[in-house]
Amino acid sequence: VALVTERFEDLAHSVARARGKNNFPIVVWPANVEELSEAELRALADRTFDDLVSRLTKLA
Amino acid sequence: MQETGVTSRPPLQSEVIEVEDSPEGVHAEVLAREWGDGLPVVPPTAERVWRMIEASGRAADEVIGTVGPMQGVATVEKIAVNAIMAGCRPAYMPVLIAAVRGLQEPRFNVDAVQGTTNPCTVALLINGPMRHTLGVNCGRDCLGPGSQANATIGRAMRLILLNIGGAKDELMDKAIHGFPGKYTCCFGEDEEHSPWEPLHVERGFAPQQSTVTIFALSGTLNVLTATCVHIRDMLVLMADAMNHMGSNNILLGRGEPGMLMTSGHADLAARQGMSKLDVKRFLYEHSAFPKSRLSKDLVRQQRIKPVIKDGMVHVARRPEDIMLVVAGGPEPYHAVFLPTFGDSWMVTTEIV
Repeated sequence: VALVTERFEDLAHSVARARGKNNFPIVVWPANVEELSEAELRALADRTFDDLVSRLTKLA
Repeated sequence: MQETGVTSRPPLQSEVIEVEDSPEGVHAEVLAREWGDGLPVVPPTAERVWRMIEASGRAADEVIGTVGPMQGVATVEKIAVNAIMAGCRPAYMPVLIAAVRGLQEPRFNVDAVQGTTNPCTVALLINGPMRHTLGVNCGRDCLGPGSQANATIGRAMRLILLNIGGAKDELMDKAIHGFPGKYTCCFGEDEEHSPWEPLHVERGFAPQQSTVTIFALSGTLNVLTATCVHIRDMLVLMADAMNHMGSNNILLGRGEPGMLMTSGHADLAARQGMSKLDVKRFLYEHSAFPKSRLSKDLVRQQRIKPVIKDGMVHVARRPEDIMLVVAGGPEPYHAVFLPTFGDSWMVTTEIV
């Protein structure tokens, strides 16, 4: 699984396709997490963690 | 369309298209197909492509490597096509092949160099006897216009990065501004007028070998040293140019920032008994600044990895990582600071 910031999501998909990985799992993360409140950051981390686990589980 | 004289050669793999037989027609077609850098190109006819391939001494279908981020396959033929479009002479092919071989080194990190928001380009520095054979400008205005070799070898590399590497639109090239060096950036070292070993010898090659060094150049910053009398003061000004806090080299603590000084600077330093490494050490120490300047209000601390020693922030991991090159007109009037991308390390390849 690749973790990328939102501005690089399209680049990540293109690079993955160029390397023959059409369905490479990519999880997107906001570029500026420092501006989030602690509560927002925690919620984001929980969502992202679940997303990562889900995609890693699918790979298995 | 096949041309007279090429029928005994095997077919090329590139698509053959017919266009209006005029410079304007060719230019319009290239723009429409997004094959260029915006400037007019020399049409890569089959005859021209074959002349270029034959000058390389290699088979048309020989694979030199791939070019990221799109992993396009750089065959000799594809490199030749881009070289012609850029205006290269066939004699330049070995330089381009060596440079593409350099792109294969993981430490150069071409995918990131191509896709980053940083303005960086792939700059080429040529060392060794081939500089003279090819007419590479190492002297006055070496970063400026006028030399076919400098202009077209650098441009051919850009076209290779665009057309084979695929970094041709905002999807693949995220540069916020870019910089004019992304059109072309190629020059040679003024070895004959330097008191020190040239870059390729520093990097393990013999003086009689010819090499091309690729590095991820982010821009150029002029340093006026004509107001100084003593070399020490000139070096202080150069060091001062290296430590702007917004540079990738400072904030990432990586890469090989460069200083382009003239043979006049180098002579003055050598007369004071300074070796090339002595100059690097001087620049390293005098460009360092107190860690306290990197306040948490100024930079996001978790995103940076500066090199901090004894409370001082340095421009590189060690003095040896500063790329010191002698080039340009001989007067010790101006030097040029060459900041680099940081997440890339220069690669030197022999031109054969």
